[in-house]
Amino acid sequence: MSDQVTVTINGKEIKVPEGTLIIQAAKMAGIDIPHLCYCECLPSTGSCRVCLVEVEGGKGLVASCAQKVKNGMVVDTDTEKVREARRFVLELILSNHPGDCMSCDKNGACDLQKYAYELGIEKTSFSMKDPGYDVDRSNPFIERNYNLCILCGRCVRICKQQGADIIDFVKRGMVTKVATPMDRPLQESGCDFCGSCLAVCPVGALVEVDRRFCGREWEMKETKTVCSYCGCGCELVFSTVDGQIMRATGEVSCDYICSKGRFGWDFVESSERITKPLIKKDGVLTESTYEEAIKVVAERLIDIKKKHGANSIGGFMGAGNTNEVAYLFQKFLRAGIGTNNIDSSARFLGFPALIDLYEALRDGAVVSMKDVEEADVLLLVNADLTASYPRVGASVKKAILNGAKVVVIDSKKTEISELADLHIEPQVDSEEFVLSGILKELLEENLHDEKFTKKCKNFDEFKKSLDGLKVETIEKETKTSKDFLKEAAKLYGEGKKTIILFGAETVSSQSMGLIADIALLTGRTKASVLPCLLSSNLRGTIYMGALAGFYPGARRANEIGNDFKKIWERDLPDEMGLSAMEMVENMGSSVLGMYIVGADPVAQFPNSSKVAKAFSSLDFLVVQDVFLTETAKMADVVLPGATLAESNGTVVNLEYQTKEVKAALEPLAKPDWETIADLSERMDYTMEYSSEKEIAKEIKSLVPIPKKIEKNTYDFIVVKPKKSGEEPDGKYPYALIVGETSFGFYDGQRTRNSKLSILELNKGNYAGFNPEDAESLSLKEGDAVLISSRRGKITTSVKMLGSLPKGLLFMPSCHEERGVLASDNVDSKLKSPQHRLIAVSVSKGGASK
Amino acid sequence: MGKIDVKEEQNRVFICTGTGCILSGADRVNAAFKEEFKKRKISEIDIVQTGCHGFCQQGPIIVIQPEGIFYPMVSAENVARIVEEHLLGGKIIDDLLYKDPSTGEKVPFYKDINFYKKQTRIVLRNCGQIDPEEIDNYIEHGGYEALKKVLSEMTPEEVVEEVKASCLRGRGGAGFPTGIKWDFARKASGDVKYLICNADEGDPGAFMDRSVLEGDPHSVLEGMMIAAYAIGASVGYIYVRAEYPLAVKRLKIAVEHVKKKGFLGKNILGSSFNFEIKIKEGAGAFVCGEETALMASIEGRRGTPRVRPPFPAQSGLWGKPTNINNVETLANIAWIIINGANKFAAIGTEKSKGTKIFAVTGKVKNGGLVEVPMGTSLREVIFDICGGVKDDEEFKAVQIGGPSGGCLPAEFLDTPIDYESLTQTGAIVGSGGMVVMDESSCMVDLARYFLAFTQKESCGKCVPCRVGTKRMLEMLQRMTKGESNEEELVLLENLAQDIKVSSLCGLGQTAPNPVLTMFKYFRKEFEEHVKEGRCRAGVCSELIAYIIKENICKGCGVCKKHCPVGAISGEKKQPHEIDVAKCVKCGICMQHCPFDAIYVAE
Ligand SMILES: Cc1cc2nc3c(=O)[nH]c(=O)nc-3n(C[C@H](O)[C@H](O)[C@H](O)COP(=O)(O)O)c2cc1C
Ligand code: SF4
Ligand code: SF4
Ligand code: SF4
Ligand code: FES
Repeated sequence: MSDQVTVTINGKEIKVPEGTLIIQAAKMAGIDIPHLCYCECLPSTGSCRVCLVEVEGGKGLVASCAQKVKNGMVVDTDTEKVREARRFVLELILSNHPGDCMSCDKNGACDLQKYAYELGIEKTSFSMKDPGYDVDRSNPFIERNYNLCILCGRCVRICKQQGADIIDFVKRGMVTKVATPMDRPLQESGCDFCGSCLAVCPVGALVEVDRRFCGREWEMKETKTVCSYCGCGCELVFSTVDGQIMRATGEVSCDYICSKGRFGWDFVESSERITKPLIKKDGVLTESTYEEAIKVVAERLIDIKKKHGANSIGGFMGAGNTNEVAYLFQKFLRAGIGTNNIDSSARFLGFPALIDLYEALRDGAVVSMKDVEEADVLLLVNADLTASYPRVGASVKKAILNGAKVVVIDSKKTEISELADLHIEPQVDSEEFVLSGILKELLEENLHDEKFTKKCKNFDEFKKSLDGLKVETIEKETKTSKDFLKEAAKLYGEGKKTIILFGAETVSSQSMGLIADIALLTGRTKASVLPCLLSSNLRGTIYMGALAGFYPGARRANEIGNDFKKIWERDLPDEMGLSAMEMVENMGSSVLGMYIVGADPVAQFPNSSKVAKAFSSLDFLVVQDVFLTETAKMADVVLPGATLAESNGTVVNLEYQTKEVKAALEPLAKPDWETIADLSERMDYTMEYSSEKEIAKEIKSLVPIPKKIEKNTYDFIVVKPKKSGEEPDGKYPYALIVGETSFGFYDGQRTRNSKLSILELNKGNYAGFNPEDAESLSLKEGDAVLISSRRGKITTSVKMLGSLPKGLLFMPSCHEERGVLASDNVDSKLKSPQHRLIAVSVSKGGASK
Repeated sequence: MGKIDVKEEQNRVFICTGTGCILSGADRVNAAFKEEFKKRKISEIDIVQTGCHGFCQQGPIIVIQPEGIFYPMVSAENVARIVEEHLLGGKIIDDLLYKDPSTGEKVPFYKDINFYKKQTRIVLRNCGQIDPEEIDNYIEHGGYEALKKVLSEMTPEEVVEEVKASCLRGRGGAGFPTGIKWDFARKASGDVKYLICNADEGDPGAFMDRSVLEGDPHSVLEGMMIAAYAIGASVGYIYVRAEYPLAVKRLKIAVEHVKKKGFLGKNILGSSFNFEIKIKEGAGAFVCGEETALMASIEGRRGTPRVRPPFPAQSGLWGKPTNINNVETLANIAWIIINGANKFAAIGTEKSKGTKIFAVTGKVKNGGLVEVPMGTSLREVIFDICGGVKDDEEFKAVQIGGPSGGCLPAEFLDTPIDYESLTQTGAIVGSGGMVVMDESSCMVDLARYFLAFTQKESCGKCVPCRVGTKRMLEMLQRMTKGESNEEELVLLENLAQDIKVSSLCGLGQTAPNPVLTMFKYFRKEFEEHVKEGRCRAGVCSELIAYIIKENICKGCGVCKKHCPVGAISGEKKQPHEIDVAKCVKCGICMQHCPFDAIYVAE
């Protein structure tokens, strides 16, 4: 605890911690000092001079935002001298301001306007002027009108703080201005479009293009909910007017949210949305009524079940729905239909290997962003944080600013690897060897926690297995000198608060085991490993049992006892249930009916032409989604789905925190849970819920939110490292990796329907090449290129990516045809394909889309 | 002048190669000497290139040693004569000698010239006396003795105490006691500490620091080393204006020489003291001379000031304890160590000790660099040393302290120059710029000039300075054009006061000083501009026009007689006319017209 000091502000005596700024101390005393350049989340500059106060015994006035309190300090915030100075400063600012409050979107929320009013400035003593800058409307996200800028510098500071650092003051005197290098448009300056700058701008200089002239500040209704993109689960506040979203902000204005959170919500308002149920008639999807559509689905499913048994039906859902929807969906399949053939995208995003990791580490795998920010050593394994889980990326950058050391293991360069203290760039697909090597070095350097490892039953077995692995083998497989591994081991081993971060969908199931081992070997069992998750409700989807083999509460399907039977009032199937790829295998033979909610298997699953064939052999396919996906196009019935912005319920983010989702908009048709419940009713399995709250209550009674379980005995996961992807060979000499990009997301379904897509070359339909590779193939940026794998071929365009090593190609996961090339070889643990690395061949030409 | 005694010692020719003399042709003179020597096969006479002698108005300057004969304004054409008649013939060349402007007498000896006689040269002790590019020259003059003394005999505490006892105050403008500042830095905890020499010298018209760097760079380096030893700094920076190429060059040479001698590096002179010096060239913005902006600039960030505290002694360069001193401050240090604090403190006034260099420019007979004891009066500097106002015009005002300083009228000529006395008048000692003005200077226009400077140089960070100085400037511009009104006079004064109290850094806090002092001492002139549209100095020619009413004019010719620029024409008894193009709007004609025939047109 820091020491307390006593200060007197406007005659009021209070105690505050030493080091508190005067402006903060005043706030604690309930006194609000006007301020423009000061922002709680940013370092002070004391530049606007609005917050001036009088300090007894001091010379002149002091900027309360930039001066710390001292014991016994006597401060006056509201003397005539202070008011006069403030009025003077505001008048000066106003003298250089157009004063067009009538048409300014910030009217009513502008700090300048507010203080001018409070200080009773009717008209400035100086003439109002418009500096005459051109308004930058060259991007569809942020409108920049520097005529309104008061040069408070908040945007400059936050841009620096969140790591992009692309704007700064330029020139001097009256012509001082905020600009990018060479004053180029944001989209040409490396802007992340996180929009942090507009969140902190106190005036109307930076505003969301979406809200210009669409609604007044006081007409806005605010709804606090959760971002529907990545697993960070950032809290968003949607401001709406007349059922239209005006903007999204963080809960506190300067909270970081990424471009997808801030601007990517507009897919919700896309004209491509499905608004009415569709029924296929004579091969054409035709609009129908909700009742008719539900009736058709129910009849067909009942029919299939009657003829072929419950297990001829399967269900699959995305991992971005609320807990309530996920729970209800699996309940419908398991209890309503009577099959355990229920699976979700979670399988493709790291589960259920992750379940093993959670079990091995328990609390060790529960890590918050705050933990990350406070860590002193971070080890990143195959995680392009700023592109995939931007909020985690922001936390890592904050940690770096706080002095943390960072070790990155990744074959390609990432934004964070460029800031790292050590970047190990192993041969593609050799991470398991790198991790094993680090384990060996930890032992050799005596950096392991002996007291702890003694308590682990299988330590000897684990050690023996490591001893069996030769250093030469590791160096050969990784093409990395062991010196680097030693350095990594030292950095990690000697750290005080260390966290390993990895991308759950980008590392193999074996790597996850090795990562757990690294934490265990050093005895770090508290908040030490953070699996980064891609979808907004991955953890919740699993916990609700929307994964073959697992019931709610992550209970294995063969160990559920009688609880579910009792509450669901049905007998439950004995089989473990088919996983997604198993269902695909059996389509047309034993699997004949499918119900898909919020997912696009036909485009998304690996080896997609084979998947499409399988789906076309079904007797009946019903898809519930917000867009007419590739899968939906093949469906017999399409039901309109709801987006997260239109849903109520809960999700669980990657920190293991349950967050409340609240509908900012009315759903276009029905909430997803209601559609499922209506269908269930029709199939004689009653689901009487008045709202999602009641579903939540039922969930709670079945699977109480687990208390943190202290674990006393830990076991190492013994792993024999191997390569898990497809090895390039003579015929397919390049390795292709699929990954996230800054402005695309996952299957691209949402970002493609968002303005964000303009920030990706070709909306993300490209393949990235190392420039040297491109040169040897005579490829230039934008060229059409034919890429073939053992499954199929696609034509796409070329993008130069200096971040790639030679021999490795990159494809955005939002690429429309990414499924064509991917391998459907199944990992034994995940029962999902290791579709990360694909061996491909490349040739120039072909008609690019 | 007759023949002089031929001395045992060989003659040496000192050529000033300070920036001032180079601009007036010292290089050509230098080349001419070399050429002449070659032609006559003279090899025993040395040509020594020295730093600035301070008497820049008289450049190029040559001093023939050892007698110390002073030849001002030497041109290449004079060289042959000097060689022939003086160096070979041993005869002083009368017509090339300096003529005292007040007595009209020729003054052959350097030391007898009034300009030098009344100065006390501590900081400038070596300037003009040694070759700044030769470290041995400096050492011959007692250089690095202070460093040796400090390292072998004194603890850092004792050094700090000595400087404290000398009462030396910072010469960079603020006048903060140097010893106390060192003490803060010494006591600050930190493994790494920095020392910075502020050689940014951005005041227009100031060139004291430049001359010291060009003429005696080692005195600054030695001061830095002693300061670093005292506070425990291991790295020093010299932040020098890139517009001072000669100073940069000489500093670089000096640092190289010092390194070779082993005065820099590890275990200096066998002690445990380690120190290195880096030279950083500044981008030339005035505000970069402000210490926090300067440090930001060294760190590679945009050079803008930040709020203090924390002061550099707590958190300076890269967040480490840092001591920053001005060039002139540092150049005093070695002298103090060698001669003792008491001797230094014996010079000057009660609260301002030692000497101060001023760069005297403007309407003065002998402008240049003048180092005088603190407490010397303005009159002594301007009239005794610098010979008074040029062309014996009436003295009107002196502007001291550049854009942060003030403008004082004749009644303050007897004010002693020290920190307290000058501050009382509204002016400041500042860095030492001194501009002398006669009646041809317009105060309103001068105020406009200074505001234009500060506005351009304002870093743009804080509102009062960025916008406030612009508004002041606009008002002054309107006044010089006769577009202003009386209300604006009040507004201008309020504005100036508000900017002073609310600006972030010294630039904004002092930017209104020139205007405020001019308001105080020359208010009438402002009123004339605003109310009468009249500029008595005839500078603000865009003011409204003076017109003679044809029907009232009797053609008496009084106005024509009084017009200082001959803008009025007309036959006797015929209506006269004012030539608008020639008229300087001084308003004298109107004051003298007995028939009120002259009026002011908008
Ligand atoms: C706008 C501004 C410009 C300044 N320029 C200079 C300068 O050119 N040289 C200098 O030595 N000090 C300058 N200063 C003063 C420095 O901030 C600092 O006080 C000084 O370098 C300290 O050295 P001293 O204690 O030896 O005087 C300036 C201050 C301000 C506010
Ligand atoms: S754009 Fe906004 S945040 Fe940025 S400096 Fe201007 S007023 Fe401040
Ligand atoms: S970091 Fe993830 S959750 Fe947060 S705003 Fe971005 S996409 Fe949404
Ligand atoms: S007073 Fe002027 S120079 Fe100083 S911080 Fe403010 S704007 Fe910048
Ligand atoms: S809020 Fe303190 S100076 Fe701007």
